[in-house]
Amino acid sequence: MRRLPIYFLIDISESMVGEPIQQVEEGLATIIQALKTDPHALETVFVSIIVFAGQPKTLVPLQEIVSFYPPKFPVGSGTSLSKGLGHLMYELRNNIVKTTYEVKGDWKPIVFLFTDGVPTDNSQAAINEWKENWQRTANLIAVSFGNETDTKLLGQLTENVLHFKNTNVQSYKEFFRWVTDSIKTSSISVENNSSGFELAKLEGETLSKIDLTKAEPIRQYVDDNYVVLNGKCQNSKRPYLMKYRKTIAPSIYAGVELSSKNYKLVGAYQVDNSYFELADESTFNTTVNTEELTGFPTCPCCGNQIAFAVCVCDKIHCIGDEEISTCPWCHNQGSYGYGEGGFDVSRTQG
Amino acid sequence: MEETKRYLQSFLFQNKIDIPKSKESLFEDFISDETNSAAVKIIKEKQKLIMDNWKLKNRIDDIMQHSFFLPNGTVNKEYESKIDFIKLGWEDIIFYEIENLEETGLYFDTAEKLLFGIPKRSGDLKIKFRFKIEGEAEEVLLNEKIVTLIINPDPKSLWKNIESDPNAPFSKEDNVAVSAVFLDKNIVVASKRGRSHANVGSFREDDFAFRNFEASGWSVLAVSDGAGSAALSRKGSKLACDAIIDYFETHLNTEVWSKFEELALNYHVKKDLESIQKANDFVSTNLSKAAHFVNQKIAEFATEQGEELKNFHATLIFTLVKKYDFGYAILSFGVGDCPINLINKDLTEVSLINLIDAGEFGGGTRFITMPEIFQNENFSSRFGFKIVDDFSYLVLMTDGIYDPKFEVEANLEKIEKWKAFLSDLKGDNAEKAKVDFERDNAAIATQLSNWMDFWSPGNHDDRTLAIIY
Ligand SMILES: [Zn+2]
Ligand SMILES: [Zn+2]
Repeated sequence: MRRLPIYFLIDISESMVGEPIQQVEEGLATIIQALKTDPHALETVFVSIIVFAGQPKTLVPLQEIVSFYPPKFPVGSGTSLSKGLGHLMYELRNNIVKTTYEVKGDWKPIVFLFTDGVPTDNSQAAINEWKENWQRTANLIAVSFGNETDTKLLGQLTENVLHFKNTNVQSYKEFFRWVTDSIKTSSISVENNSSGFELAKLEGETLSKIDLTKAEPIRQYVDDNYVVLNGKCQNSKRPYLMKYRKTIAPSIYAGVELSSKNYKLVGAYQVDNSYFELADESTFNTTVNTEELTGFPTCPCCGNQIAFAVCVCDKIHCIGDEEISTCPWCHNQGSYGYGEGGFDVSRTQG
Repeated sequence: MEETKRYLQSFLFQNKIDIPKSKESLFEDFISDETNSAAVKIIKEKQKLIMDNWKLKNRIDDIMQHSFFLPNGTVNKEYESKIDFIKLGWEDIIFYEIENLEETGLYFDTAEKLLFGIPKRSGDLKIKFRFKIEGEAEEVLLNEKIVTLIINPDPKSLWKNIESDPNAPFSKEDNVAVSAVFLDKNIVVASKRGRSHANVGSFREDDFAFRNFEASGWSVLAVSDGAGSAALSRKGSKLACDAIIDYFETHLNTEVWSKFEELALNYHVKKDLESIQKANDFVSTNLSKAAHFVNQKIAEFATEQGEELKNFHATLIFTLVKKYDFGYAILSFGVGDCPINLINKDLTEVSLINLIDAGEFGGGTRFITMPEIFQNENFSSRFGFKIVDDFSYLVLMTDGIYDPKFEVEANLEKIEKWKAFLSDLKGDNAEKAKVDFERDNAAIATQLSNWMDFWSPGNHDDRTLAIIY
C-alpha cells in the first residue's frame, strides 16, 4: 500500500498561547475525525505533527490515522523557523519512502506550515536547503496566522502562501474544514495517479492566497505583535504565560497628538515544563515597560490575586496575601509592596 | 514549649514586633499561657490541614491534567487494553470505576484493569474514569476524569457502490469478464471498476482487447490503464486497446511479417549476436509502428472531439504471440506500470518481459499518449522478444492487481511470489475464492471476476487481469 504522508509543522511560540493553540489542537483532532469518514483518506493518509518554538519537537511521529490520538500542544519561547524546517527535513529524510525496484514508495508528501509571526532567528540556510532538496519532492502550503507574518520569507518555500484571518471560533472551523478538504481531494487525486497537489477551493474571507509579488520582507528577531511574559506560580511552582496584544491608540502628550503603542491583556495561561524544553537556549534581553501594559491577571495556576510580582532576580511570580513570599525561581524570600510608576520587565521572544 | 516559642517569635517578628530584653520574662509567661499554646497548636494543625488539602488538590489536578490515552479501536474488531496504574504513576489511586460503557460493546475488568470487547459504534467514546486517591476523606465524591476512546469505523463500511451512468459519453460497463480460445491455449480476462470509482459513481478506466488472426496465425492481447487524473481516460484506454487490434488486423498479412519466421528460427537455433540483433530489430521496428499508430489514433480522436490529448492519458501493454514448430514467439511492448509476465511450463521460472515505468514517488508513470516516450533514450527497452517451447501462464495485469498482490517490481521476478499468487488464484485466500484453470471450465470468467473482489486496504484502483493458460 502506498502511504500519503501529511506533515503539520506548527509554530507554538508564546504568541500562540491561549485560544490559537487550543483551536489548532481541536482543529487537528477534527481534521483527523473528518478524514476517517473518507474511505480513501482512512486507508492512505499518514500523519505527523512537528512543533517548533525556540526548539523543534516531533509531537506525533508519522503514523496511520487509525492510530492517531490528538496530542496536547505545548508552547515554547521563540520562533525558530530554521530549526523547525531543519527538523522537518530530518523527519522527511528518515520517513519518506521512495519507490525503488524493491520498495513501494509513498505518494508525494504534503506539508502544512502554520506560523503566526516572524522567525526569531535567521532562516535563510534552512530555506535554501528546502529549495534545493525538498521543494520538488514535497508539496508545502504555508499558512500565516495573523497579519504580520513574514510572507516574503514564506514565499521562498512555496508558491502556496495563505493568509488566515483568525477572528473567531467559526473562522478556525472554516479553516480546518478547508485543510481537511484539501487532504481529501489530494488523497483521491494521488489515487488517480496524478502527481500534483490540489488545494480545496477557497471561499469567503477567512482564508486568502497571498500575492507574493507584493509581499514585503520583515526583519526582526522579536515578534512585536504580542508581548508575552513568563511567570512561575509560587504555590505550584508551575510556569505560566501572560499574553498582551498590541493596540495602537491615539494619545495626547503635552498637547501633541501621538499614537502610542500599548499592549492589552489577552489572558494568563498555565503551561507545563516542556515550555523550557522548547525555548531558545540563547537569552534575549528584551524588556517592556509596565506602563505600556494594560491589565494585570491573577495567577492561572493557583488563583493568587497578583500574577505579576517581580523578584530581585528579575523574574515574575505570583503572590497572595502571605507576608513573606518565596520566589519560585531563585528562592529568595521577601515581602512585596506595590511599585510606583512603570518599570521594565523581561519579555519573551514571542 | 520550644516550638510554641519559635512560632510566636517569628509571628511577632512578621508583624514587626521585637521582644526587647526587658520584656523577655513577660514573653515567657505569654508562651506558657494555656490559651496561647493551644491557639498555636490549632494554628499549626490548621496550617498542616491547608497544606495537606493543597497537596491533595494539586495531586488530583495532576491526575486530571495527565494526558492519558487508550489505544484506538475499530468497529467489529476485538479490542483489549490494560490501564497500567504503575506505569502511569497512579499508585495512590485507592478506588476507581469506569462508566459510560453501556451499549459500546466494551467491558471493564476492574481486577485486571482491562478494557475489552468488540466495539459496536465508531466515534470518540467519552469514558468516565471515577477515582479516589489516598488521603481523601471517606465521604467525598469521586473525582471524574473523562477519557476519550477513539473507535475507528470499519473502512469496508465506508465505501459506496454507485453505478456509473450508462448514458454518459464514452460510458463503459463497470465489470466485464470473458474467456475464449487464444492460439492453441485459453484466455481468461476480467476487468473490474475499483472502489475509488465505485464510491463516486465514476467509470472504470482500465480496458483490454484480444483477437486471434486466423490467416496469419498470430494472436494479440492488449491491456490499458487509463490515468485517473485524465478526465476521459476511460476512452483513452479503450482507444489504445482497439487501435492495437486494428493495427495488426491490417498489418500482419503483409510480406514483411512472412520474413519474421526465418528471423525467429535463426534467433532460436543460432543464438548468435547477429541473428539476435536482426530479430530484435525487426520486433522493435514493427511494434514501434503499432505503438505510434495508437498514439496517432488517440491524438486524432482528441482533435475530432476538440479535447486535449492529455485528457485521454492511458498506459498500454500488449503482447503478440504465434506458435511455430520450434515454439511460441512472444513479442511485447509496454508503456506505464503494468507488467507482462511469462511463467514456464513446470512453474520454476518467471520472467518479467517489459519495462515498468514507476516514478520516485507514487504516480510518476508514463502514458502511450505522451509523444515524448518515442524520443526517449530507453524507447528500445520497451520491446521484448522471446521464443519458448511452451509456457504455463502468460499474464498481463494493471497496477490494481500488481500493487496489492506483488507490491514491488522485484517481486514480479520472484518465482515464489508467483507460486503464492497462483495458489491464491486457486483458492488459497481469505474469501476462499477459486479459479479453476481447466480447459473446459465454462465458468472460469465468472470465477476470476469473483476472485478479483478480494479486499486490500489502501488498494482501490481498477483491476484488470488477463491470463493465457
Ligand atoms: Zn500561583
Ligand atoms: Zn527571584
